[in-house]
Amino acid sequence: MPSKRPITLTVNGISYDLLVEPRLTLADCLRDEIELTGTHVGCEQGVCGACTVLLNGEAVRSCLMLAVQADAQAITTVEGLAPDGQLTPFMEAMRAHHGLQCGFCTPGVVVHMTTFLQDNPHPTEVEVRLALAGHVCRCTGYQGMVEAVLACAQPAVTPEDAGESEGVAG
Amino acid sequence: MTTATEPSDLHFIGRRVQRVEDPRFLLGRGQYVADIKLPRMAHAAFLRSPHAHARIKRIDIDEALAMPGVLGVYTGEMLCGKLAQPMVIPGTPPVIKTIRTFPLALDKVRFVGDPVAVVVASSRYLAEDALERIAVDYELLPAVIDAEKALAADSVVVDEELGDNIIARYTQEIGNVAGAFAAADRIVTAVFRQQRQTHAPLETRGGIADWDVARQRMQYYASTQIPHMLRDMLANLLGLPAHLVRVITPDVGGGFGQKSILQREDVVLCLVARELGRPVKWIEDRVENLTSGHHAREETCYIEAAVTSDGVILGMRSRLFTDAGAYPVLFQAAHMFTALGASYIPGHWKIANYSYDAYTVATNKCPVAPYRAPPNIYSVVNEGIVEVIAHELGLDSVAVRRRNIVRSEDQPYMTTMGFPLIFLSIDQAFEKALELVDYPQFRSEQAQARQQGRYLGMGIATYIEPGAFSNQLYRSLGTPISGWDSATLRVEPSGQVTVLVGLLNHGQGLDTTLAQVIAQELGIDIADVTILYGDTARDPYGAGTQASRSAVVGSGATSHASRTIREKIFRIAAHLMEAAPEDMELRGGGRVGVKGVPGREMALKDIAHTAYFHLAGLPEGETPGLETTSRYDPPFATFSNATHACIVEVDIETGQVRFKTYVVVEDCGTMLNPMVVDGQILGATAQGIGGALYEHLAYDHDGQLLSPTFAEYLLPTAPEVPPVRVEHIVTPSPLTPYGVKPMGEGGVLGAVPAVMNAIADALAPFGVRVTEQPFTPSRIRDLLRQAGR
Repeated sequence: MPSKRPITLTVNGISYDLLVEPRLTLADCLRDEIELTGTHVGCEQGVCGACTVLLNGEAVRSCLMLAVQADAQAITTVEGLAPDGQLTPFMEAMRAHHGLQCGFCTPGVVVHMTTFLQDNPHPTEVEVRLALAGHVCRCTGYQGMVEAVLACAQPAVTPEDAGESEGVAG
Repeated sequence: MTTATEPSDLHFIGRRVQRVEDPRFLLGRGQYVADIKLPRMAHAAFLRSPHAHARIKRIDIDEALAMPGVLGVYTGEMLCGKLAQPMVIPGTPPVIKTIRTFPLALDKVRFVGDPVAVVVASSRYLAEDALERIAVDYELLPAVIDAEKALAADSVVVDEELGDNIIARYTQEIGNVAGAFAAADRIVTAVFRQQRQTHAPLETRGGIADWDVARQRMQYYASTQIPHMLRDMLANLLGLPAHLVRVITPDVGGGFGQKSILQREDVVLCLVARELGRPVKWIEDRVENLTSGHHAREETCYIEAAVTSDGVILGMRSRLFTDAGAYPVLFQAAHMFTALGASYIPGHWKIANYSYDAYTVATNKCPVAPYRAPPNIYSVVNEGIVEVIAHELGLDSVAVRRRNIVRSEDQPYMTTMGFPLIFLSIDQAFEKALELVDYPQFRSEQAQARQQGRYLGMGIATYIEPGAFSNQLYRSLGTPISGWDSATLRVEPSGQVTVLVGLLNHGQGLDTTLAQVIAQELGIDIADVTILYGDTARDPYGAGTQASRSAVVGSGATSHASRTIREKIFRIAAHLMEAAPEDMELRGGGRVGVKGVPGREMALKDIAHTAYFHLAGLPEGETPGLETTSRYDPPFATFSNATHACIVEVDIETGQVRFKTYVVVEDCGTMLNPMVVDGQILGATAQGIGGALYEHLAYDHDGQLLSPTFAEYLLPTAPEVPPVRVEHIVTPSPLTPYGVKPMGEGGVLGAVPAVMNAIADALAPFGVRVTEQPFTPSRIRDLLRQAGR
């Protein structure tokens, strides 16, 4: 068994010095070593998106990363988005549009769509559905989530910003 | 749209109240079983059979036991003898055989994924390392993987105790089937096949068993839909008195029926925790879940319809085969749903002559568990056959439907199932759905498109959905499910309300919908009510959340409890305000006042304070406190109805199916919270679309599962699910509280045949039969190739 390595992860602004096996996934590290259990494991394969966190601001699948790969990096988990327990505007929209039921896929969706909206302030419905393609939800049928994202989209400033509005792909 | 109650300050039922439970999930502060840590907790990993069928000659665990961090290794031989009772479902011969399962495989393995041994170690990683060191000597046996072939006299037998592979066989004839067939102008036959699928909740299965040797008490943290039933089963199998077994269920990340049964792993964890004297946790990984976490839906139905030349169905005969897999599950084994599926085929059509011959068959594949609308084959068949009838007779399929459908004026319509269809809006929903897709306009669009070599199709599917079964119905199915449910309602000394129920919310919004009932009946704010569930030591008995029961039985039990407490509140308040109880009224916000006297009122908290701390202020004979428990057994079965209609375009070069439109017209009577109802429809519809187009658990000839990960088992994601327009008709049931009807599973019943029939309609010019799911691009291309395209 390979010996443990010392790493330092900054998670939601707090620094953690840890001793971990090289094979420990980032998801398991966040959940078991740092005990932030809001990041969920749904497939360990990078398909379902439940484990999505932000690594230096970019959405990544923490089940496909090793904790040692995140050494000296900054991670944001769902818990870091609203540390004082006040729902963010996107979380409020998810609630208003019934974008969640059992809650298991929800943290991954919230983390990813929060950053998606920052990078894409005027998405079309097609773009939203494509962005959500990385999240498997078995409960909602996605409609409420799509509406929540669109509700948070900024109104287009110019016609060019509005983007194309196509029918939805089957 | 009509609602049974109009929104106002005092009316919460029927409003789209935002969910009380959402903040914890959105903030990532839900607590699922994987999130729980107990002191000294150890971790289990299961060794599972790589073979579909093999004798276990020898298991060598010595090397595994010596691995770092390993606390114990157990096999079937070591554990099965520690059961107090066998894991048996008693049969009712000759229809149903007695069937048995085991915590771990004993003597032989019967499917790929069959658990053979368990390792307990200080971490899951170390436990999995040790799995690789367990040496199992298997003697391979041939595997039987096709349910119809499993009935052959010379077939390999999955369970020798059964003698053959027939678990159950149901036959019934109602009316004069021979007469109907003799009188027919035409006999139309078809075979409908539905592929193996699985529930795939985002949260896999799991549990933590904690044996307290000092108190001789087992505490089991479970991701389950059925805490009390699970407690009963564990107590029985472990030989423990029920009051010393406690099931605690935290948040559950989806179930869909996969968690409405006893898992073999639940039993293993408890046995092993008792051996080790430390809590033992197991969280299933996704490969385990797709391989061993129970499957569903694999059924084949041969149907014959006796019809007149204008498509009126005079009678039907069906043969149904349910592939149940290698072991039964307690206590909702596959045969229960074979019976329901076969008998429900006449469904919403006026058919008085019907016979069926239905088999539940064992195969060397993963066992099956009920999955959202378990007998859904009935709606696939009864809507699919009408499409075939229309095509064979050269008639418009909507016209054929209109000739056979049970209309409001036909109600009460006595079905071949022995009970009437009543209080339903079957034909209204059907006609409304046609209106929403603009059917006549579609037909002209379809004709134009065909001239351009484009193939559009419309599929429409109507269903009746049974749910919220009573005690009597479960008894008639021979299964120990209670049917009724309970609510304990306690007004705390401070005036807020705590409610304990025997249901198990796992996404259905019960924290909110039941609070809406209480808030309405007690005239308080939703924020002043907490709904609790999931602790068998605290909560009154219930059958959990399954069979679309929770709104019906939950509103029944909570409304009854609320009215009991409201009467006591009125008695106490009347006494304190020197008025009569019949003159009291609720004024909202917890205030209770004298009718017609605006200034004369008091707060619930003051009434509660008297009931707890100032007994001398209570009326003569009134008991202290403000708490009651109510129980509600629903009517035998309650039905809702809906129609799904969709328009698709099929690309005949690639076989791809694209949705243009999808509508649902649904009638579940009174809706406690229409937003929650819509969410259930949308989620179930997505699962139906997934089943019709994408999801397939494929086994090869040796019984190896070819789709053990999400890379092969394709769940629909947002681009695959069309926007769905939902409209409601409201026909309250006069038999249930508030007129609520069960509805959570129905989306599957509508979606699968609607999609199937849309593709059939699109490909009608090619004369192909669209009856064997899934309708993947390669399946569609195969059909077209056979037709010369």
